[in-house]
Amino acid sequence: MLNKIFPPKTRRHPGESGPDRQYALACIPVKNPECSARQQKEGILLTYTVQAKPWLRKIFKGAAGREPEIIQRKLQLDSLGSSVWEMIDGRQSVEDISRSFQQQHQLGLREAEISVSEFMQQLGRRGLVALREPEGKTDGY
Amino acid sequence: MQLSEQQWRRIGWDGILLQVPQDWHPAAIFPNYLLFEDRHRPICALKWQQIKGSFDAEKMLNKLTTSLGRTASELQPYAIPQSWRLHLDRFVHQGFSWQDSDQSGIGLLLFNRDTQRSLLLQFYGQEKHFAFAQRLLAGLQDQQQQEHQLWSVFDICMDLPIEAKRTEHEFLPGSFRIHFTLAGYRLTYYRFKPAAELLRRQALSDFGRDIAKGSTLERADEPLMVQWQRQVKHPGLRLLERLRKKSTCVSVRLWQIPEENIILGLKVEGNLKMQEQHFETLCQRYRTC
Repeated sequence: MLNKIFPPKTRRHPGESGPDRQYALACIPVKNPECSARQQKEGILLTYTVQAKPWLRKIFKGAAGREPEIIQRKLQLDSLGSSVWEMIDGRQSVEDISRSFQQQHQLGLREAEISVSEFMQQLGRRGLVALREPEGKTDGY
Repeated sequence: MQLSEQQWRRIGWDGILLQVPQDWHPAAIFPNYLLFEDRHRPICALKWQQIKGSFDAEKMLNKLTTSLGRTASELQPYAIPQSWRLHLDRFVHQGFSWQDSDQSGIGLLLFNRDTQRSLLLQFYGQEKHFAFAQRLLAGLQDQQQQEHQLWSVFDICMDLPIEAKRTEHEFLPGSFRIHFTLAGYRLTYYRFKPAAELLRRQALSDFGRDIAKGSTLERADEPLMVQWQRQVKHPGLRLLERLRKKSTCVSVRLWQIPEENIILGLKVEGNLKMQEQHFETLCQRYRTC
């Protein structure tokens, strides 16, 4: 019983997260179809909508007399982010994109993988990109 | 399978020099510790430390393995193959193996009597996959008794006097920094990539402005090289700077290697101005590899 409440600490050995990382790299990023992209001088400007938070709705209602359901947000990508965004085509995996990014900018493979993965996470948090599981795994994302 | 000459590269870190297959990536770099991965899986780890007094293999093994998250009871003795032993005659050596629920591997505890340094090598996986081990052991060097030591990691390397001590390091995607102390100076080595993107809308002197903060631009051979200098000459100001624990002399150089899409840099801080020739030598000995 105590074991269930306080599970014994397990020691982590180097690289235990290896297969997870491999799996994440094999996932295929897919763009949110409701996000629009416009090429600008500095890079691509992404425009997307998010649901307004309840506290924001209340403030807005008090000030403007109506409740906004959704609000529009913008994200300006730099040239590196833009090049990665353009590579997201619903077919290439994160690993494929990392390799192209590595070759394009003469980076180390690991360096490119970290950069692309972190960028995907940032896009994912904003709902601009979702990751589809690699083929052979369960459907959906 | 034997790997050809081009498929190996040198790694130098904290006094240890070794050759590893080109496909290996350093996944963890700490003081006196390196972990390499191959295809996202750990393949080899090295940990080393200086020994004071006599060397007791068993005691040392317990200490090192505990620090790596294992217990001595998990270990089994391992007979080191003759082909490996050929390269280990300069070390006192002991082999061990381990097997737990999700990992297995082989370890070697080496002790260099000349430098009083012990080294724990761990190969992860099954022995049949350790074709690299012989070559790795052949190239393993303890640089402590040399005048210079090579620091070589990822795509940069620097040749530094043996007295140089690494104090900090940071390897972020696109931006690397390694700090050393040497003869009263603080050296910071920089590496930035991709240079073409970083310098797309700004000159090298603008890019380096934060690094050289407070120094004046001394030389600008745009877009290839820029250099800044700072020297507080007034005795009162020098004293004030020293009380504020700030260096009174700073030299910074950034240079771009367009064909490799890279920017390298060196910053030297101290309370005496470093000789021009010495600074030049340090810059020349910092390169890509």
